[in-house]
Amino acid sequence: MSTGVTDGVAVEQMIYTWVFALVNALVLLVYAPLLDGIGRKIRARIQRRRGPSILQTIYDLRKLYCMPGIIDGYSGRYARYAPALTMALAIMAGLIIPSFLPADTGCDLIVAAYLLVAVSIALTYGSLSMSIPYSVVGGCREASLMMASELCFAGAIASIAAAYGTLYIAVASPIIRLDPFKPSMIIAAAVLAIIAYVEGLNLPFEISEAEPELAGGALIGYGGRTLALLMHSSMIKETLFIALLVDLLFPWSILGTGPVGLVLRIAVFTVLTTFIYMVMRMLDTVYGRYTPRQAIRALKRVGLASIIAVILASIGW
Amino acid sequence: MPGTTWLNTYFLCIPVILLLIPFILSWNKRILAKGSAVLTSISSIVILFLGVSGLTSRTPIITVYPWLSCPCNIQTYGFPYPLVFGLDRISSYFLIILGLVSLVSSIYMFGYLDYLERRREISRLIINYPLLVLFMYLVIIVQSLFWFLVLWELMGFTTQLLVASRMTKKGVAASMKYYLLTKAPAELMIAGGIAAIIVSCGNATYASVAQTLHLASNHDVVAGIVAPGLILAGLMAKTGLIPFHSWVPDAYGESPTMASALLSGAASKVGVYMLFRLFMYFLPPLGVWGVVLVVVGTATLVYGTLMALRQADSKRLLAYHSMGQIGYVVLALGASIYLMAYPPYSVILSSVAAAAALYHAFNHSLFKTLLFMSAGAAEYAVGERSLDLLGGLGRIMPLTSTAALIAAFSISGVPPFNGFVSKWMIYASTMPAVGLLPICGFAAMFISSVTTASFIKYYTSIYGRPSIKHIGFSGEPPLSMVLAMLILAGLCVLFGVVPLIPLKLIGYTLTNTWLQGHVVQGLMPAVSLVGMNPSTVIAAIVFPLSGLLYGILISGRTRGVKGWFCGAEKPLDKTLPAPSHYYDDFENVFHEIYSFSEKTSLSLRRIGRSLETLLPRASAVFETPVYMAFIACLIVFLLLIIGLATGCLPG
Repeated sequence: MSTGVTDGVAVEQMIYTWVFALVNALVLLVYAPLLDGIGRKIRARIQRRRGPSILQTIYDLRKLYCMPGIIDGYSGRYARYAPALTMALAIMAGLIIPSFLPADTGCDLIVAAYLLVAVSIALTYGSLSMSIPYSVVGGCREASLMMASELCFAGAIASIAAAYGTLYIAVASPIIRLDPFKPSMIIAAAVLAIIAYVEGLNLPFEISEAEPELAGGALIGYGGRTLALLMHSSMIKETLFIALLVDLLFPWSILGTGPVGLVLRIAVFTVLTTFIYMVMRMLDTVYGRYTPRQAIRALKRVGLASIIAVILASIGW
Repeated sequence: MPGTTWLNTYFLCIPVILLLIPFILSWNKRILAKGSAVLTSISSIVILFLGVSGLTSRTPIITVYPWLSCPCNIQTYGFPYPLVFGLDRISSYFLIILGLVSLVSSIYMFGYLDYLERRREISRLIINYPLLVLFMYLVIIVQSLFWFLVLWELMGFTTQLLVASRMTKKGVAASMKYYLLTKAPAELMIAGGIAAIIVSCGNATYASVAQTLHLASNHDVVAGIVAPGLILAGLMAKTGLIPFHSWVPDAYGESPTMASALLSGAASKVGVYMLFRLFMYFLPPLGVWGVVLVVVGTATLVYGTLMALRQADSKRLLAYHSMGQIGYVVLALGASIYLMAYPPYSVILSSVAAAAALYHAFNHSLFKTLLFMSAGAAEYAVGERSLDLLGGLGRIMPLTSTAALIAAFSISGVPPFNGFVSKWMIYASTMPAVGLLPICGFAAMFISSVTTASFIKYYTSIYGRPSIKHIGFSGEPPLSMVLAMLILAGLCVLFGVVPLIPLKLIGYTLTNTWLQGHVVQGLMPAVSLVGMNPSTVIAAIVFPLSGLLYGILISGRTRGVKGWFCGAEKPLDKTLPAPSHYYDDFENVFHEIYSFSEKTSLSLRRIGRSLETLLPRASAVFETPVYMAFIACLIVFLLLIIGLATGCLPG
């Protein structure tokens, strides 16, 4: 009898988890382009322009989704499938990485990292399957940046795991919450913030599209709804990197549980992610673009810092 | 003997008989060509069956052939090592790997033989190929260290012949390099280590060696450190671990495709099998070996994969990745020992690491065999291996390109394919640990992204972008080649989506090691995403969702248009960046690693130059029985050393 009750509670918990996860993913579909709109507005204001409405990115995406898909006619077969796979992986990442609601899917840092990186991988396979030189150059740059940023990301994850003995991202109890008094965790938090910045393709690291110099990069072979899918999934990925940073840095347990806790969580999460995004966009506006070599070299230095964090964490600092 | 039945005793002989027939029939090449593939396929099925039955049977199947050990009544001269064959669970697990790889390679062989026939490269391959399968089979099932050495030597000899089977200048050079780096020094080290163990234990059968070494290794330096160290050094050379790796790219690259697939998919696992048996079965968990394996595994995976990134030859790229992936396996094996040898003695993490080592070995067999086959299919179609000159095959060979894409995703660890699960288990067991392991886990995760970039290059250069070379070939390669690739692709997906199937088999295998009853607990972390494996959940969502998005938004509603080709009418293939230069910026920034490797390869090149002068003579030697006689002498010499060292022969 008691087993039946326990099973019932577990099933109820699982239903809640997946409903929360679904809500998170659906909200992200709108929230990510909204953040992009805010970013465009900030950039315009800093450049003393009026700028578009903050809903402009949503309008742009809607327009692109309504158009038929366009693709380079000489591309390989996979290129046609890439936008759908990229979007599916982005939505999957949105389902399992806790964001607005505390969806405790049991996600660990490795699964989260791999899904987020898989979004870039699916896109890069597509862009390198094109016959357009700009697309291939953009794809190469995207892949090079992915390797260099993974050096830093892996270091941050390994140091967190070594410090806390687990990879599990908790949503309620503080199983992994970066400790501001440990030197390794200070470095790890800084590295994670840099990774979120780099993966958001902010200047000076925005080298794969690099429109002024490449006339469009990794996405140039796509148009219409295929382009919409790829742009949309990139925005979701960028937002999820920030969400991961917030998940690990904020002490969620102080917000309490129950309906009030939920409302507080939504508010705190929204404020924090929007704030971080705005700061990133401001930095993006003031920087110039790195050459690919400069970008990779900069990330190599961050990677060395993350190695130091792993060493410190493994000796208990 | 436990588990001995008439069926078991004689069933073990079936593959031996079947695989020897091609050697006997070698006088008639026409019958031999397809016959060799048929016989190897049948014997592979038997090997697979034996592996599964050995793994799931309650008692180990042990068969003793005393009549083979003393054909001239050697026992009367004090020769006490009977030829013992048997299937315990460790052997059975690796038999499954061998059976599976040799079965699909043999199916692939049916179609690939036409290509070899056109190039007149068939004759040596069809004799040596089944012989290699035979000796790998015997090495895995033999249960005596003495006879292991003999069969290991024969396996190495057959490998060498297989590498040279094309009889090209490069092939013979690769074969000689294999000899110089692995056979002569490695065999002597293994022989020395085995002799020391036999002297220490007074017996050569696995069960009694394990029993004695468990007790003796803690206080006896020879049994615990010197002998395992010698064997490890020999096995490192055979499996292509750093610093004995330089034969790997040449040997895998110059062999015919299904031989490369067999060498990378199965032969490298035979070395892993012995490493596993040595450190998880013969010896107790000794910290020093954990550290050595972890360091060697990490160095190999970093070096192999970074070198693969800059390759422009499809098979050399895959060969370097073989090194890298074996590095992952060795890292996980070392981590398992390390976690049990040093405080806080995490049995659960140790079990996950050991399971990850076995799982990744299995996965590597699947995706690497498939990748070599896909490279072979490209060679079959275009006759070219250079990534700079290939391209456009995705439109001509949709099934092959899909299979290659699955393999590329699998080896890169993209969820939900099989490589993701085993890599995830490696990180999950190393990163949250103590000491060296988080740093090694970090290196493994970083290198996984390099693997990804490398396979983005591999796949898109062959199957993605337009072709530079004219393709006078239309359609898929022969049915048997496509079938073999689709079987492997299906398994890569299956064992990623439902990892509990192989994990159950691995659970059985680990009961045969010092982890024993802790295995079930250890495998529990594999279930972490709301009560299911993350890979299963991801597959259940990503596959249908991407299909749905494709069906609704893309399929039938997307048109191909002419892109911007710098003002030209058609794609200017030569304006596309060459794949060999895709990652120039990355390689330039990480030049320290590459300059180190260039320095080491420079010294090897000097040896190579002196080899080149020997080449014409070397190829002549391969054609004659002189070389056979030389190898026979080497075997006799090794036997004499062991006989004298162990006191079996009068001094």
